[in-house]
Amino acid sequence: MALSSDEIIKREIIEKLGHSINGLKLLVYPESSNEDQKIFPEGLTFGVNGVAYGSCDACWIFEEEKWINPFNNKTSKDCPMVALEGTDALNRGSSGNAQYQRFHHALGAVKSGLIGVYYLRKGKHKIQEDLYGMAYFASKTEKGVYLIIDNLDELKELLISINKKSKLDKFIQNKMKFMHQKFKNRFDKSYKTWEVFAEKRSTIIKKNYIIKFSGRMKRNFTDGSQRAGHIAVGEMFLTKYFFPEKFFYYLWPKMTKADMT
Amino acid sequence: MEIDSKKFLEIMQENFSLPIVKTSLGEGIKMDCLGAFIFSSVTGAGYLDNPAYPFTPKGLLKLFYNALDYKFVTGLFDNTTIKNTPYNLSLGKKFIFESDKIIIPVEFNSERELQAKLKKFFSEVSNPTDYIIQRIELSKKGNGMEPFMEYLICETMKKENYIVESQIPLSHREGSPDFGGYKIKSLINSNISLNKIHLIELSMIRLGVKRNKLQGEKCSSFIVGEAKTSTTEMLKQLNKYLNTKFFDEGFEIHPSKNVASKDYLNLFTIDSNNKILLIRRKSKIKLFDEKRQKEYEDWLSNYVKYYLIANLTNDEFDRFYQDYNHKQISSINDIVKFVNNLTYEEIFKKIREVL
Repeated sequence: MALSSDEIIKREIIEKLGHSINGLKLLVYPESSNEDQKIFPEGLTFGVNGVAYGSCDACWIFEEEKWINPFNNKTSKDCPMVALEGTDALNRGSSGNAQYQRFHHALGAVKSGLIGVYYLRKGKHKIQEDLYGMAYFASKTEKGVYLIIDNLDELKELLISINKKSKLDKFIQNKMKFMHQKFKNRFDKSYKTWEVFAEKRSTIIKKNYIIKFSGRMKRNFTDGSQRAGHIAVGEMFLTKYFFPEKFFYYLWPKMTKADMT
Repeated sequence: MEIDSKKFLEIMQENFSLPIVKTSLGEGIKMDCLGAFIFSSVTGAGYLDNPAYPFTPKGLLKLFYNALDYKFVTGLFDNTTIKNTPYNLSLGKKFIFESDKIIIPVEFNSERELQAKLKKFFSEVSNPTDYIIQRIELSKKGNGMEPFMEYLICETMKKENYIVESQIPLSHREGSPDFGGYKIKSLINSNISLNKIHLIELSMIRLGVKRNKLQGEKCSSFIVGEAKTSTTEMLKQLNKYLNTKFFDEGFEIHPSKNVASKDYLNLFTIDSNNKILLIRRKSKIKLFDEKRQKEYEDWLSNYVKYYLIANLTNDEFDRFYQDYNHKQISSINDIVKFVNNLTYEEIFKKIREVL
């Protein structure tokens, strides 16, 4: 079999950034291993209060610096700083909302107070501007910072700045500005108002809550060959972070009560 | 039987007469660099160029998504560029083909444990890239040794005059068989003796791989296999491959299975003395369909040409194309049309020019 998307990303990270940088040690596991799915420090999965999000492809840690994991309140001897989820999707035909499907993988790290990075390797397609918006608003809401990048030079800059507070703050500030601008330009061009957004994006905005509806069916979530379940999760986070003040309902009219049991 | 470090060393020594050497990380098997490259390509065992994610060419040298089709995966070619060839790798990572390698089986229970072991060893030795790490994943049933079984059958069936390959292209629906062996009549009848070889070695002529003259072979033959170490059940998957009607024979590949699931299947296993044991099928029932096999053979006879072409650099290939076509390559289709129409002799003549 040819190299998977994950494998391409991991090899690129090693080639360009090495196995340690600026005192940070890289944790990255081969594809044949399932250990990335274990909770940190054994694995590369993060979460809060017992809720785990998707596993990450790489994580940079400071060894021998204690950290309390908000997933289980256990203290680990190593402190994670940056967790990355990567994909070669832009080279593999993902031009639309399929790009959202791995958003939640790095979100666990962001919720845990780390810097979460979703790296979409530069390719034939552009990064969807919504994704920048999702990361920007998640950074405003959650404890950590969420960055979307398409080249590893940016990541290198981040890792080199990690222990210089003013440099790191400036880097993050600039990146936030960039992501917000990307999102805003697109939003202004396509929707101008949230009402128009709602109309065009299968969303109903009410005073205290919001309804996102879509034609997902049971098999989208139960058949591994279908990616629609993953995309549905991505769309859920899009709606959640675009409307952080409102209660959120996800409506699937094509699913029956029986489908849910 | 689980293949652990001890068993790994015994199997390698017993079947390939390779010397065992001692290192501070444990005992290892010494192998020449060309053989070690094939070992790493098939098993995924990594050169210790770094302790976090040792480099392996596994998966880098692939060509097509499916059989009977010419759609490139990113591997040997990246779009219209010759990319991950052994020769190109030798330019970027000189250590690969520079000296003998020692393959060390390392047992571990967790990735963090393995990384700690490798980090220590990496800092202790002066030439870490002379070592290749064979992962023995104790937390997995079968220790994750399926790729090692693929290596063993490749090396065994090479001796029976096949061009061998692991993780072969077939189809999205049937999946990717763990092992394939090809005897291609058009190649046998050409002036180029290129059987008894791993497919990747076709791309390593420039690096010193020797050709093997074939004697007595006249016919085509295609074999397929499925390897398992965590379960003895592989019949369903193997039958899927055989149902393509491309293959003459099917192989169950397992380190300790005693009897094949069906009498029309061969069994590749390891006996109690660590010797490779090939139990031939009892039933000679015909598994292929002439028309389907002919289609597969025609495709395979082109498939191997790309691996020969991969002896060239991208610039050399561009010039080769322009000399024939008097224009530049503008699409993958240009490459496919060009390579498929070349004879083995034409390609080999070109390789000789650059040697």
